[in-house]
Amino acid sequence: MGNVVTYIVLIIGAFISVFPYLWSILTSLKPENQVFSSHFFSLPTHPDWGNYVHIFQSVDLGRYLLNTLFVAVVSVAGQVVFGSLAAYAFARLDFRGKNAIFLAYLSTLMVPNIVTLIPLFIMMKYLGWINTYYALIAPTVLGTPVGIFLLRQFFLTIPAELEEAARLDGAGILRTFVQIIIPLSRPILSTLAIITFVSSWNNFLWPLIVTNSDQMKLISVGIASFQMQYGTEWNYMMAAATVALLPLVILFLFFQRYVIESIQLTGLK
Amino acid sequence: MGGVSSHAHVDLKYGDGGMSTTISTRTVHSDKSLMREKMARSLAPYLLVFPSFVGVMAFMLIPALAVIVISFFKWNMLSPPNYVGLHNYVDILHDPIALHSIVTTAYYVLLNIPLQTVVAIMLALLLNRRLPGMGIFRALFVLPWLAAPVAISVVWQWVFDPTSGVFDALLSSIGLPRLQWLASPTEALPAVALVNIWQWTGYNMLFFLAGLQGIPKYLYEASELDGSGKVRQFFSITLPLLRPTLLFVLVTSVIGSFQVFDTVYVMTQGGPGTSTNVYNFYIFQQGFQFFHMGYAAALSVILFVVILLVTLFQMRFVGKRTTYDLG
Amino acid sequence: MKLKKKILSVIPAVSLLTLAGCGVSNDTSTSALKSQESASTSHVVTLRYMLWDPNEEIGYKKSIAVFEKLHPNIKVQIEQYPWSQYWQKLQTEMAAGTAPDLFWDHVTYFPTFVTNGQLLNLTPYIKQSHVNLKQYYPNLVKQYEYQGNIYGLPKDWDTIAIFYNKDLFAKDHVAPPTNLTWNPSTGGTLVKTAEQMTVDKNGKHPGQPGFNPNQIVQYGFMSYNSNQSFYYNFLAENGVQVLNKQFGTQVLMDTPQGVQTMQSLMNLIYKYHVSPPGSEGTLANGGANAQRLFEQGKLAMYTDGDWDLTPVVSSCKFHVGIALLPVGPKGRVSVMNGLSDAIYAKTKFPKQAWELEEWLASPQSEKILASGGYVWPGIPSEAPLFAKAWAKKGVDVTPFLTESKGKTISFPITQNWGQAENAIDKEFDLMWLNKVSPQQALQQAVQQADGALAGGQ
Repeated sequence: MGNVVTYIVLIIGAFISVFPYLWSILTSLKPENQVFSSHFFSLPTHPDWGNYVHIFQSVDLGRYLLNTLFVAVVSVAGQVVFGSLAAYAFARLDFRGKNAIFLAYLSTLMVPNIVTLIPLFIMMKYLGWINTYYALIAPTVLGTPVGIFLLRQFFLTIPAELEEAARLDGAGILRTFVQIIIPLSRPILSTLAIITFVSSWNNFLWPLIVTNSDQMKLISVGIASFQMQYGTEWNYMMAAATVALLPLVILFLFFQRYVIESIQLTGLK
Repeated sequence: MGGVSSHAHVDLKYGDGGMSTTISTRTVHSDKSLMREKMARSLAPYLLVFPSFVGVMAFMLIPALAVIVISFFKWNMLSPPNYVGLHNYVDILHDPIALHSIVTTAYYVLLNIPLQTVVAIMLALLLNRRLPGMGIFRALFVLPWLAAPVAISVVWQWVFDPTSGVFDALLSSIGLPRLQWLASPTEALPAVALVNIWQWTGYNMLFFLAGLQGIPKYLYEASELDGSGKVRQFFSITLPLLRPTLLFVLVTSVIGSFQVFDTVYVMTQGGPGTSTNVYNFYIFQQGFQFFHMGYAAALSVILFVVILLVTLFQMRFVGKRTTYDLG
Repeated sequence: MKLKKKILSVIPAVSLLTLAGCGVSNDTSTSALKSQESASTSHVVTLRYMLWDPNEEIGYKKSIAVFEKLHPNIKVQIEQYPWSQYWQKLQTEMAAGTAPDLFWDHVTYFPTFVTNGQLLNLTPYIKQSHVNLKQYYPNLVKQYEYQGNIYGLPKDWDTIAIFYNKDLFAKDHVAPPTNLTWNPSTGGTLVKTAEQMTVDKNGKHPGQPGFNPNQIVQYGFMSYNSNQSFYYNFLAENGVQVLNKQFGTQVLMDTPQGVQTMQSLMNLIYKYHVSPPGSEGTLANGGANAQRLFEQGKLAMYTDGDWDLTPVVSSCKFHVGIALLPVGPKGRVSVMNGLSDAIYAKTKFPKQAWELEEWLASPQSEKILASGGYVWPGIPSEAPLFAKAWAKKGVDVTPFLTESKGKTISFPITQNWGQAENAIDKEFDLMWLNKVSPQQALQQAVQQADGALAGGQ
């Protein structure tokens, strides 16, 4: 009985989560003159793949996807490695200035990036990084405050005895970290990997500002290019958005399967 | 030896009670290898933090501090700036639109955070049960957050349309009065909040799920033996152990909703009237549409102070007992 | 401690760099002519050219392909960014001194750019290259003029006309709205026609017994909070001027005629019931809603600019007709606006940038864009090509051209207009929602707009 209620709640919630996508997928299969015809969920008279063909022809979507993939993968790798090292220090080690530094990290999130982007952009100019991958990757690859905060909160919950035991066996800090902490942190590291990947995949304003050439464009900027001053080429935009979304959905399904099953197998928790 | 003792000394001097109690003074040993290890142990934290420190410093902290400097200037980004001291700050005090946007933003945060957080926890609890199909549901709930924000905001404009939108078709089909949504000065802000809740609940749920999976099962088994019910288990085991996760979710989502921008920019442009003129949108307007970047910087500094105070408050009251022992 | 010190010394440095970023090479604008010789070496130069419209971009690519053939040592990198982020990107790049060599300029932003020395003065180049300024619409040349110098050559223009659903008019046996009149007291034949085209669920029209204004299924006309596409035209037709003069600081809309005009536009919604509700017409979504309702066949006619021809016509399943604006008490008046290409004052390649500017405003290039149906050309003699391109698609667009040759007004052009406009927009939203009267709205709007033009925060 309880399970039935659970499923009913979940199905309603899932529908709420999904219905705007149904519209965007349906729209991506319609010719322009059917986008707003009749009601919201009207089906296209003939599913039309022409929009997808059009977007790949009119902009270099393949290139944008590759750029985005590269930037996202490098960001994830850097974030997981450097972020977890820093988070471990913040959560488990004692050092002078720890809390001040941590608070400084967090405080960078509290200044709107609408205004920080000007100094940041000017800095990139002096570094000679405008319109390069460096400018796209540098802000995340050494670990971000959000990532470090997330991991720190998780590391705090790991029982201290586990580490102490290792330390008594003569393990150094790095070894304790790699052998004790990392294996216990797979769910949270995977979560971090996913959120880093998705946020660099969808990152919009900074890539738009800091790159100029078509060769450097990311997918999010490519999608927005179907917007006009007073309207939007809905069918193309939705086709592009669907193309951009697909890899994320696949990635998420893969990741969460790996995460959940690994936890249930170890049985430690 | 000198290094260690001086460290110990400085620590005593700067130690601020709960904040950073560190290497205790009794560790001064004559054993050389032990000392080397102590050295390594005291250096290690800095080495671990160093890469991130460089990144955060260069690409976030310095630009943020530059904003503080800019706030003392009149600057339109196109001509050289003029130093005006606290003038921008004084102007803000006499700016009714700025003051109104602070109230609007506070209202938005209150609409957004409680609902979003509670629903995220509840979904995480449901999805943490070992029932068939949970993986699919997890993916579906995260879907709203996976979409490119610009594309999805345009879809919501259409969902909310007062004459042919889906929501109104739904409401009128079950006999409820039609709403104006984005077109109404009283309903527009809740509508914007709704879109953000829709988009971010699944994201926050991810962290709660990870947090729940970190809670040892034996705790529940033990309490079941004691005969406690599910509700009591939630309040005596789950919630306390989720506290670090909760702190993370609250702090980051409060910071995010104080800075809400994208949805407002795409869907309402701050309107109708000034009803969704949230603070961050006003900063954008002042900076980029009205060419008052110095003023926008001063507005940002004030926002920074507000968020900082709220965050410290949260850390004190939500994060108070984060370093308990699981024992 | 040392680290801390170092960090502390870096912060002011970066802040100063930020603040100085714009001032660093301010003098290049004057030395632009001088550096001409040094830049004219034989190696290939790449110019950055930024624009916002994805449809017109296709036409510009064609024109620039020809330009590159004629100028083998110049390559052009076209950068298209959507309008909603275009200006933020441009301003950030200006702050850093790295803006594109050429970019589309709009009258809302032009005054601020030109008064802050961001644009290259083209007058010396125009003289040197003997460009015939008489070939352009004179009002378009004047738009980008400041203190007697020209900062952009006209390359296109737009006017406002009525878009109507031909099939719907034929079905309802109503004469097409090709020669309407309008006046603020009775509404003229505009309201009469709109009433005939407005239908409720039971097939009744406004004014007929039993008509239910809450169950309208088809609207005759649309009243919406858009200045250029809608109310500026009606204000002008009733003799109301928005701004006292180019680079002026006084908003003049709150005259009795101004109040009367806005009242009459509100009457379309709240008295005659021929327009979708005011909630559909608010600033953020009014334009998009008008287009959508029209495309859905729920709106018989509305006013819009020719820049929307491509998206609207390709989205409609019916035949789209274009009609002249109704004739008002002071005749028929349309807003006429044009874009120009601005050359960045700090461009490293002023000579090459000028060559591109000259090309894009030349008859040859305007011919390419006009004959592709992308945009009306700034040179009137090329205009028939645009009309011909659309005639091939079955749309007669000559009303736009007729209006351009009649009485027109320009967009308000002055410093801080963006801020003034924002104040007006917000106040007018409340008027459209019937929360304040036109009298109150105009009074408030003008007071705030004047404050903005006087340089207030």
